[in-house]
Formats: sequence, structure tokens, C-alpha cells
Amino acid sequence: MPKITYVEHNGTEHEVEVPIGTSIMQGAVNHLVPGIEGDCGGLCACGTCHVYIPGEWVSKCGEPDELEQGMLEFAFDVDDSSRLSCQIKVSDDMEGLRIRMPPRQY
Amino acid sequence: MPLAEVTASSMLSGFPEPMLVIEPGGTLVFVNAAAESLLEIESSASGRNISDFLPEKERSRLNPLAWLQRWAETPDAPEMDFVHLNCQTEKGIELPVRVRVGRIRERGKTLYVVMLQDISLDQARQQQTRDAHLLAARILAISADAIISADQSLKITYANPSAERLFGYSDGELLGVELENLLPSRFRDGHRGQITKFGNESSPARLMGDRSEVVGLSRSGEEIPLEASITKTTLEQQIVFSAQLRDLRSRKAAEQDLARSLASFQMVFDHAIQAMALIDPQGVVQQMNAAARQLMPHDFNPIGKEFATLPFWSADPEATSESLSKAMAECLEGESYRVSATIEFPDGREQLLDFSLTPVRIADTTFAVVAEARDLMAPGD
Repeated sequence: MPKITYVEHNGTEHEVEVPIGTSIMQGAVNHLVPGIEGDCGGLCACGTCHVYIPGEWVSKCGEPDELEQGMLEFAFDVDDSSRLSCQIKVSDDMEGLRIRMPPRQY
Repeated sequence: MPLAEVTASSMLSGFPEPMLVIEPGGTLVFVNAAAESLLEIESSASGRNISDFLPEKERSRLNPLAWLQRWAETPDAPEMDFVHLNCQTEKGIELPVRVRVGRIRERGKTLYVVMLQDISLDQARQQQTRDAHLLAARILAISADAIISADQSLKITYANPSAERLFGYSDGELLGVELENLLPSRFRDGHRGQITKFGNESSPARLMGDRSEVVGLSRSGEEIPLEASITKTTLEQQIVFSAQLRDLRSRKAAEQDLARSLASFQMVFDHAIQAMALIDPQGVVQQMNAAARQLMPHDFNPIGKEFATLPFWSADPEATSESLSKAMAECLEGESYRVSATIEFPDGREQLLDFSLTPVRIADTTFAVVAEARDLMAPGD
């Protein structure tokens, strides 16, 4: 299971092993990582699992599709590295991934 | 608000939910009374643009008209349940609202009917629920005791990390497992009966201490003595059983060690040739070995009596008692103490004995004193 580090907006880090095939959002929710809500359960419908993916990881995490881009409009403090973490499936080449979180999800 | 141009608005004007009718370009053609009240509109809003009621930051990040169009096309889209917009009232107050959009044709023109729902209260309530849930989840996650929930069919629906560790399962593996798999087979039938009985009882819980021990079975086949509290909760008309389980293995091992160590002590103490007594910090005799009892009158039981005033001190009992009390006081401070005293045997013979008083201490506290007597006249001593 790849180890993923979730970095809260205040800098608090949570290193979590997330099973391959589950989403980054689910990994956070299952391990009670604060700052990622996932209200809609992963339907790409709520924009409350917003995270920032560092540039060097973009190729492994992929780009947001049109639906996700639309939902990102409703997220808070969006920038070019913004993604909805429910739309990123964990794969074995994500070992060591560090994602950052916005100050809030609403 | 003039109604003549848009007949649809007559249906909406009395509607209790805030409703707006908007042209595709965002111009408001109708605002009902509930929406006027929500958006704190005092004069006419007709002809103004929907963007006027969005805060600056919402205007800059999303195109409300594009979304209105999309939602009107897919009224059942999943995001309709989750997405909210912040609107801004005429007085500049921001309000989170949920939005529903319908599309109508009126005299050849397309219009959007927008229903707003103030969700600020819902959000506060949701936040409270989320906080309470987070708190409970954190407590469960760090609990040293194993916590397991099962549904009415006795399939596991929740197991905290301690439960997974205790029974030897990894993350999430216990979910859906039959509760019986965590019990040695000889207990399974009885357990099922007990749970059914508990489910029908009025009592909501049975607590540790009120219940006898239970035995669990780890994945590796090890039987684990457990102490259990169980409770039931009815959620959506289904009973959920929850148990808090405490691993008794280390306590049992400690009890066994203690029993062994006590038995060894007792053996050494009882069979020592030297007369010995164990005295508590108040100076009262707790134990006396066989060699010491021989110094006493046969029918006298020294247990529970004050050591310094035992009836065998002869010569000057008061002076002896005083010096022994002083010795005890010193000893309680942590010093070993030696004192000579003459005792009188039951047959009237007297003998000078050398007493050593040794404190028994744990963490700077004396909890007992061992008194040993040696015969100063005995050969070779």
C-alpha cells in the first residue's frame, strides 16, 4: 500500500497507507484525516475534497476532467494545482505522494 | 412587482420558498415575497442582474449563468444535493443557499425559475454533527480497549484499531465477518442465545464487572480471556450491538506472578527457623511465623495486636514497649533498627533477644516492617 502524506493547511502532516484502487479522498476519510470532507461520498458532486497536487506529481495523478473542473469552481481557494481528491485513484507509483489542503472546504 | 408580463409569476408570488425568475442573460424578471425577504430587497429588484446578489468572490470564480443552465438541464444531478452558493443580500450579508433550477418557456422566451433555500442553519447543524462524529471517531480510534459493533444478524459493522489488533486482523478486514468467528466454537451456541436474550431485554447495557469473563478467539487460534461491556442502540429500527472488550491476558499473567511470589514468600516465611513477624506501619502484627509463635502463650493469637505491647515482653514491659515503639517509628522513616528486649516464655523462663526491625519499602513509602528475633545466648551466634 502506498504511503501518502496529507498536509493540512496549518502544516500538520498525516502519513497514511492507502490501498491501491481507493481514492485519495477515501484514504483521508478512512483515517480521519481532518480537512478533507468528501460530503457526496466520491460522486464528484460537492467539491469538499479539494486538495493541491504538487507539480512533480501531476503526471501520476492526472488532470481533472470537465466535470471535475466544473465542480472545482465551487471549491474554496482554487489554483492551478487544485484537484478533487475523490477523482484520484491511488496507484502503486504514488508511494511518497504529498498533498496539501486548502484552509477550508466550504 | 408587476405581474402582467409574466403570468408564471402569479403562481410563484405566494410560494413560501424564495423564488426568482431569470432571463438567460441573468436579468431578474420576478422575485417573490419570500425571496425579497431572504435577499433583504426593499425596493424593486426587477431588471437587475442575478450577479448583483452574488458576493465578489463567487462572481470571480464561477459563471452562475452557465451553472443555472446546466442545472436546469439536469435537475437530478447529484451535485444538486451538495452544492451551495453564497449569495449576498442587499445589505451585504452573505448567506449559503442551496439552489434548484427549472426552465420554462413563456411567450417564446426561455426563463429560469430558481428556488433558493437558506442552508445556514443546516450548515451549522451539519458542522455540529460532523464535529461530534469526529470526536467520537477519534476516541474510538485511540481506545486501548477493543470496540466492536454488530448488526442484528451478528455480522460485524465496526471494529476499532484495538479490536483489529487484538484479534489479529488488518485494516477493515473484520467488517462483515460473523461475530461468532471471534469466539471459540464451544461458546458459539450459548453466545447466540445470550445476545438474542439481551436484544429482547429492556436493559440497554450490561457492564464490565457486572458480567463474568468471556473468551475470544484470535485469528491465529489463541483464546483470549476478555472482560466485556455490551450495549445496544436502535438505529433506523435495527438493533446495533456494541461491545467494549478488555484483554485480560496481562492482568491474568500479573495475577499469576503475584500468586507465585506470594506462595514463595509464605513458604520462606513460615518455614524460617528464625522468629519473624510482619508488622504494618501502624505497628500492628499482620503475620507471624511458626518460630515466632513458639515464643507466645499457646492460646494467644498475635495477629491484629500491637507489636510493642504483646504480652511476652518481660522485665519492664512499659520501657520495652516504649523502646520498641521508638524503633518502629525510626523504621518507618526507612532505617533498619536493632533493639534488645527480654521476653518471658510461657513457662516463665526469660530470655534476652536481639530484635532487628527492617522496613519494607516501595517508592519511599514503608508499607511494612519485618521484625526478626535472634537469641543472643544461642551457641554460635
